[in-house]
Amino acid sequence: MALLEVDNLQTHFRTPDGVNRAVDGVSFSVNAGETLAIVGESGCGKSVTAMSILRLIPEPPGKIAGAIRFEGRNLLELSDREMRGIRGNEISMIFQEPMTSLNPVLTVGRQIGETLRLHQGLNAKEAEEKAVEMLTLVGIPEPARRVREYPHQLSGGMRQRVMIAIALACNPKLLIADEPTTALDVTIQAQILELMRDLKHRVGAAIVLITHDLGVVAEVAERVVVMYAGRKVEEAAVGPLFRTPRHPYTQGLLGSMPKLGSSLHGEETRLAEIPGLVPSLKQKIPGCVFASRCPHSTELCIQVAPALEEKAPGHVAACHYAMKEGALAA
Amino acid sequence: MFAYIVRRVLATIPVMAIVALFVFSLLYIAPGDPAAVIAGDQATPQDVERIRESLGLDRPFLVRFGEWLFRILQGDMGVSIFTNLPVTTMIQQRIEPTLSLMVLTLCLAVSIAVPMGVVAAWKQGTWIDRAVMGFAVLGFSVPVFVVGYVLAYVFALELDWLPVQGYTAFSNGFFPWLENLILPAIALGGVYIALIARITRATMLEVLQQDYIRTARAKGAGQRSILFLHALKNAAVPIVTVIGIGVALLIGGAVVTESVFAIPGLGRLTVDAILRRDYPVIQGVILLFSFVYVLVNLAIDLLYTLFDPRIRY
Repeated sequence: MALLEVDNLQTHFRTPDGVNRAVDGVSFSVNAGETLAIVGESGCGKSVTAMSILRLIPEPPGKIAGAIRFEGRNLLELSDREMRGIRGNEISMIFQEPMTSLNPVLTVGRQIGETLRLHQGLNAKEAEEKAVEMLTLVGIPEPARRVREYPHQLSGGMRQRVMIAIALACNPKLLIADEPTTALDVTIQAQILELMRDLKHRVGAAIVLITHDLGVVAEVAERVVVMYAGRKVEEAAVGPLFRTPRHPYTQGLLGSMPKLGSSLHGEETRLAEIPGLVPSLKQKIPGCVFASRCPHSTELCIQVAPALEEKAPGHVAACHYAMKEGALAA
Repeated sequence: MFAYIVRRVLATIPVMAIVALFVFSLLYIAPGDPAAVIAGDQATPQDVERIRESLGLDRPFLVRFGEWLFRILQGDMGVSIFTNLPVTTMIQQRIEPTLSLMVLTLCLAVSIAVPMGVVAAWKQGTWIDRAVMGFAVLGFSVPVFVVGYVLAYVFALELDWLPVQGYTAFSNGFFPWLENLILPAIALGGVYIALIARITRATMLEVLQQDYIRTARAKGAGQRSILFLHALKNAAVPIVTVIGIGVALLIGGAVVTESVFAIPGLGRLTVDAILRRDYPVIQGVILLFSFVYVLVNLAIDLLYTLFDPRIRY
């Protein structure tokens, strides 16, 4: 059985000018110990998907439907109290902005200790000892001193390490990382990714990694879900996805990635871009959500939404024209 | 930190000096001749002249200011023209009721207004929020004496739960003391509660949008801990600031409240002194109130560091 099964997740927001279908029927599953990446450009619903899993979407105006089964239990049916027992304990989350995600008026130790006190019933002293241990684990020098410091006394990379320490303090089975490296310098990014990979092996947690950075995906993920305009358009293991992307959107994403060693000035090595913008999520789109930007789109694409089909073993895509083998026919 | 405290305390000296100068000038700014007033209607010009000399009114302004200031610094505020008692003695006799009223109002207001503002922010847009905001508007717009008389009428006259007026010293027991003071404190606290609740709500609304609140939720923290630990501590600085500024409201309101409830405090003393043009008393009381206000705000500046570790002096 999968550790986490997201089944037809729909997260909608009521706004003054219509319903925003931020996530519209997304399904995927995560096995124990696995790293799944969810990729897509800004506004495709990947962060909302992540927040929906922990029910961190404010309701109202948000509304989460479908099923999110964690170890067989549907999280959407749990009481607030039961849900609090899961947050930070069995499923924890790290966020994009380490500068603002830590509480500025509480010490680092207090913030790490809070989860331990909440979920493991430690007292203040034990929690602080464990916090020092966690800071050591995430590679912060002088942990005994740092534990009494406030977030503003730490650098961005250090703060993200603290966030990771908070997230891993209770040995969660699942870690959701929402753009954990986006706000960091490239060198720090590499360190944080390395740390996450290392800790994953040690703790054995499964990871759902939300990112728009395909470089990061290639680095750490085992399987990839590609999202576009609130829907899943492709899913595959990381190797096949990078080698033979089936969906035109995935092809576009990969094409827009600069490659090391290629000159940016040569005519033929110009970066491919995807023209246009993500469509408004406030209208129901009858056909393929990508049709308006797709170089291959036809009348069929505009009229009929393509179903997710298995194009190769373990490789699904939602496109009328993606062939069973190889790339697009066109 | 210690250097900062010393610096701040020293900085209050010029403030107090300006207040002292202003207070002393009152004698000159106010219309009418104090000597003539004290002498009364039947006095001869010689009597008036004698009183003027005894008060030192015939000497230059700066000389008198210097002498007066020198005496104040030694704790001598002069003698009341009316009762012939030292001003310090008169203040000592009257300070307890006023201090009691202000402290009780402060505690009452903070313990009611802060949770009110927090809950209003949490339940933003619901009827609870609207009720709190409606109450705040009411608190701002209804004057202290109206609230005072209504409270006295309902709870003292009609229901007969509490005494109508007067004051019982703290040394006679906590409950008799509280019984006499609770209505005045509620009447006086109205505006203050409204002010604190509004600021609390506004600041909390902003804080609750912050990323670290989402982090706290993701950790599994309960609603109470999110509101009162994670959010309120971040909202504390503006809230504490208005609590300090609001002490001025309390001082002004205390004068009216003491009249309504016949509390023999400094407010009554001030009103009586003004009506009788008892200048030494007026000066003493104003100086005292200014000093308290400056002191409270100094304390609040120092409190900031307790709530926000990013503030360092």
